[in-house]
Amino acid sequence: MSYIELASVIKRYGHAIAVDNISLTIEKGEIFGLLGPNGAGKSTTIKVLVGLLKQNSGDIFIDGVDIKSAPLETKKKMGFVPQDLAFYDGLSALENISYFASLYGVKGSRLKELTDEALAFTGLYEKRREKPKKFSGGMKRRLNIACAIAHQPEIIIMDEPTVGIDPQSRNHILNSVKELNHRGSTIIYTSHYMEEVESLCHRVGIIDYGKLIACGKKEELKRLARTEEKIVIEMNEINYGVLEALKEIDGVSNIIVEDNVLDIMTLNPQTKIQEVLETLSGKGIAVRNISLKETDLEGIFLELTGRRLRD
Amino acid sequence: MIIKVALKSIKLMFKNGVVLPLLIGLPLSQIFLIKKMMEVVVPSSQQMLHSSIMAVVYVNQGIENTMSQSYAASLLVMFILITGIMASSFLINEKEQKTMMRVFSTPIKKLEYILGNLLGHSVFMLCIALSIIFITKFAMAIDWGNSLLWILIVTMLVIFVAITMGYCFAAIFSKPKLANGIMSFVVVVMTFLSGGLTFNGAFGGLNQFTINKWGFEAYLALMRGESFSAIRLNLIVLLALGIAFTLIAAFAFRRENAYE
Repeated sequence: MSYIELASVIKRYGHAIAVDNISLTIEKGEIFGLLGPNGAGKSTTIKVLVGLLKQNSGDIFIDGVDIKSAPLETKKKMGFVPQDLAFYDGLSALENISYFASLYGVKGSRLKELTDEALAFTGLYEKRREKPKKFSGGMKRRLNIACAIAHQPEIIIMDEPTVGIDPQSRNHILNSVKELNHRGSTIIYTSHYMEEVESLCHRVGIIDYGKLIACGKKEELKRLARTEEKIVIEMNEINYGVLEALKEIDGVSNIIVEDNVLDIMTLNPQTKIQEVLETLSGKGIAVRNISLKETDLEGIFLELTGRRLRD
Repeated sequence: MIIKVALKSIKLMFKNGVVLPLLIGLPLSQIFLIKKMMEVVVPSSQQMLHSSIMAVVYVNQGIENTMSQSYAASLLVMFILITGIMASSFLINEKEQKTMMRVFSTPIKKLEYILGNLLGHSVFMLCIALSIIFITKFAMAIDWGNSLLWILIVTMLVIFVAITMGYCFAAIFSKPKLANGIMSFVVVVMTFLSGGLTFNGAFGGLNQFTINKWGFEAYLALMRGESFSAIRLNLIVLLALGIAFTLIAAFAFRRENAYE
């Protein structure tokens, strides 16, 4: 049996299905990514896993223990980093971390030791006596993580832990996740930022409309895409009329537009470059740069669902 | 676990620098003002009547004493109920700040969490109520009777009812402003209907349905030096109300998304 196992889990809100028959396994020591757009069912899946919601059907096992029959025992193994900042503004960073760690049964000198360790790990030791309302966005995110890891859980579940922070703080958090994994924690990481999931995770599950539409190692997922490469075109300005013309090229399956960059998914991209350039030139579009790039998780998601991750 | 949650609640309550002096200072200033008004109004009426009917003077002296005592008791009950609104706000804030969600993801039972908060908030409110009682007793000569133990028991029961009523609101509402507004309205209406501040009767028996009446009358009986038998029914009603509110709150918090 795998370390974490979800078997045919269904979660409904009234008539709406938020988690639709999801089955997946996660091995000990893995960083497992749950990727999907907002509202895909990632957070609901996580909430069911940490015991905040009860599944309507299906089973979840943590290290062989059914979470329905022993919820407190399984919760002890986990540390949950919610998507929202969840700590007390009226308590200092140290008091917050110490309180949440104590709820996992840590006490005495061990509690102080682990609290200090979590503060140091998240780079908040110097600010430990300050209240979080004085913290920057990045520091608040780090405190949010510290509150979940102080008791040294075997499983750390992170729900979009980098939402709304600057790139420097994001890098700090991503490095922390890797370090926590090196220290032995199994990590479940949800995000709609495919770059994060791609760089962090050993395996990835892609969720859309509550269904797990693909799951595996990044290489395995990339094989699901019909093409391993895409044409990337940078332009000075975008003319949306050209998109229709590009879509009419035989073999082009999808086009992603972001700022002035076009990602064109097509079979045999090398053979299509000429045709693409002719179409652009015909519409009077000046091309700044053109290249072939390996298909990423965003492209795979687009191929599988016809939608973009950030739609 | 219960103690840890209670300690956190006490810490959060006491760290709120504005609330504590306000909760003690407001009722004290009101009791002080009413007492001063009585000192001015009653002697002047005594002076007017002095030459004609001596008996009225004694009755008036009795009124002065009773009015101040009654206002003190009534205001204490009202402020305990208002502090109950605060306890409710703290719990709703936990929903808003998502800390309740985080707590429920840890290995703590919901009942332990509610009892921990109940204990913490009770200790905080008991400190406030006892401060009011002692300051009015020694600085304003309000006579709370001879039995400190029974005063303590009545106070604890009123606190119990106030907090658990607040928790019922906290379980239902997710916005503190809305819950506070409705609960404040309920407290004001109950205070009015109880007759505790107006002394104009029982509003056709409607005062029976107010928490204030049962706490207020118990305090008055103790102030008059009456024994336990005089307040037995009041204690039973307050205890029953507290238990009923606890059960309602516990039931409401059993909802799986009670943290939202």
